[in-house]
Amino acid sequence: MADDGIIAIAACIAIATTGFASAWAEKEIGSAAVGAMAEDKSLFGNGLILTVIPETIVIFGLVLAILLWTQMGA
Amino acid sequence: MLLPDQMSRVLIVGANSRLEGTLDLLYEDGSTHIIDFIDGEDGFRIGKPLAQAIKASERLLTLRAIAKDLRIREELLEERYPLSKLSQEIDGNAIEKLENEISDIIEHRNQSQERLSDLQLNKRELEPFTHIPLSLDMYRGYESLAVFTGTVRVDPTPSLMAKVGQAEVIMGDDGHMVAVFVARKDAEETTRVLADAGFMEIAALRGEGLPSEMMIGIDEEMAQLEEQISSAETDLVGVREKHIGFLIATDEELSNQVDRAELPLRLGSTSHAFFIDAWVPTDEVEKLAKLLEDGTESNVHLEVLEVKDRTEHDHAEDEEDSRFNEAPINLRNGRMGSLFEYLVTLISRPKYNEVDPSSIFAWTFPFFFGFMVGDIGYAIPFIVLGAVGLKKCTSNEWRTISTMLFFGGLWAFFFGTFFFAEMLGIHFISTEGHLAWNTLLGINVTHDFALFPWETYSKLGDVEILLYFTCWLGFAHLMLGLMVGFYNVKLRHGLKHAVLEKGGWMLILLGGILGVLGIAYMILIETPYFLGTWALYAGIPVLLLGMVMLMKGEGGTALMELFGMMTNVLSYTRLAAIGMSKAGMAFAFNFIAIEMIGGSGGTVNLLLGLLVFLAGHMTIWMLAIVSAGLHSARLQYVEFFGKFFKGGGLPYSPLRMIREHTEKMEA
Repeated sequence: MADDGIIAIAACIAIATTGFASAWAEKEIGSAAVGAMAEDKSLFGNGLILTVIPETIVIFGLVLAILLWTQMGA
Repeated sequence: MLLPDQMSRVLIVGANSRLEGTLDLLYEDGSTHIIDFIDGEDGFRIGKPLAQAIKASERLLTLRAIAKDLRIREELLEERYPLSKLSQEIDGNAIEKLENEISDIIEHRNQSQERLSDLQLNKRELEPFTHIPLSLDMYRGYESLAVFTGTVRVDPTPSLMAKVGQAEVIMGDDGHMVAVFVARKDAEETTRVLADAGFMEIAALRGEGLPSEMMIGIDEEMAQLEEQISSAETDLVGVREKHIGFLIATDEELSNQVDRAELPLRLGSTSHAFFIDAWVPTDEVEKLAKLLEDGTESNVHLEVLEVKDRTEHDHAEDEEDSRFNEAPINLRNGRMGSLFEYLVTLISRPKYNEVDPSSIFAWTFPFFFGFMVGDIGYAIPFIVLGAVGLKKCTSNEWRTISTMLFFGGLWAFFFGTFFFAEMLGIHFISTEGHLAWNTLLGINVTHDFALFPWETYSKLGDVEILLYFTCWLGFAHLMLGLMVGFYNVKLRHGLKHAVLEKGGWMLILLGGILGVLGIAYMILIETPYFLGTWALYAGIPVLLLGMVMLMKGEGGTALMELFGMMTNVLSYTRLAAIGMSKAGMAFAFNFIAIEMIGGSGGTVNLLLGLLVFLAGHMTIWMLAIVSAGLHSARLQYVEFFGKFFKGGGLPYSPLRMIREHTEKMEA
């Protein structure tokens, strides 16, 4: 089986990169959404949805990391 | 229940003399949503406002000015004002009297304020001169003398004596202010010497008398004025306390009156007759017709022009005004469903021909929230807080949050008991010697209380099972969304469209999941090999059939969204992932706290341990509101709504008198 250390690093990369990607995307969308909300308050719902959409990226990263983690010590 | 109310378009026609009576009846009935009349339609004109409009508007203007002076904003008042008493007071010129009462006080106060700020300015100008004991008239009116007044950094006397010779220098007692008297011919030289001493000129004031004495007079007058202002403010507070109920209730009543009196501006009329074009819920039409007939002795006529159906017509063929095509949306939900309406309308109001998802939302949203929390220890405070919020809060936002906490808490309790058997991140039954309530408290809950005989799962230990399970939850939720979508499309465009579009997607979802399951069985689990093969064999043709149908229904481009469907399903794994992250944090806090409490560090460690325990769980609990709430909402809004929801409906706003601070007493 693969070395546990390598698996841990792989899980780490999965979380770190996807987390960074989500954060970046949310930052862009979030600031635009706040700008739009300043113009029209009723856009809150849409702004919220658009902002949380990239959250999926890090969720996939997390799931991948979990799957890798369960392989450790196997 | 799932569709918005069916609407009928009605036309109400009568003679102008009946207009006021008709409006009263419409307000009493409270179900007509007026379609605004646009001038110049078929020779009709816009109606004229009722005669009361001017008086009511004037009074409203006065009232709002008074309210501004008294700093009254709309507040929560316990008592409602009886309408009959209110009308009597308004007609008895109560507003005008009140205006007189406070205008004197306010005028007086404003004058005092003005005088006060003048005095403050005077005082600032006079202040430097108080340091020199000279009367103000001494600074002016000389023929042969030049006078310099201002501040210096160093005493200029020695250098003046040296260069000018004859000069009278009076230094102020603060060491900066100075007054210099020299002969006019020496003025130029003096300026130079003073400049070296850092002189800044302050022009001498006009007037008479000693500045320090004048200062005392100013201070006395200012104190007096301040007292007057504060007594005026006290008077105003007194007036405010006395009349606040009346003012707020009158504002509401007059606004109602103005709305009613100006309503004819939204109607069509000729010189003798008026007509009202309006939407009325189909169920209410008969009641309204009867009301009009009885109330006007059959002199006003109501005709149903159209009962709005829910099919969608091609917009090309009828270019009619959208005012007549778009029925307003009156959501009709039960008590529980209506609590979730705000969450749905946050995105958009459903259209006339689509299912209002509030009632479905009421089940699935708290369900996911509860699954992610899944812990009795967090569930109970959620339920309590939610119940209190639902009882006390009135604003939409807070009520919605309370609703989420209450119902989400109930589900969290359910999952915490039956699925995870967990409280504050600690399981009730120990597995493989892990920390659990039974080992911690030394009791065997299973044995002693006959609790938890069922199989339970650990968020950290059974990750693979939970991931698998959440994918199936996603499948079920998306399928439900597609079914609702199927119904919507059928309603709008007929069965054939529905089968091709949404049916196609259903087959793709089913085929896809069978195929993935087949591959997973074959590669990962390997045991029931033939099951995997069969799932794969069944899945592929279903998937292909779905794709063909979709291509026929929506065109080839729709196939681009195939991967979207896959990410949709995988997106539900967040249910497990977020539960797990919370369990992980709880595990860490528990570990630290119990080490400290159980260790031999004495009382200090025990207290610190308890603190870590409390603060840690409090943090997790608060994070749970945000993360579980937001992610559950997202699954609804993005994944679920994406399968059927269009939105963009027109809100239903029937003619109604607002009665929040006033009430009609039945005689």
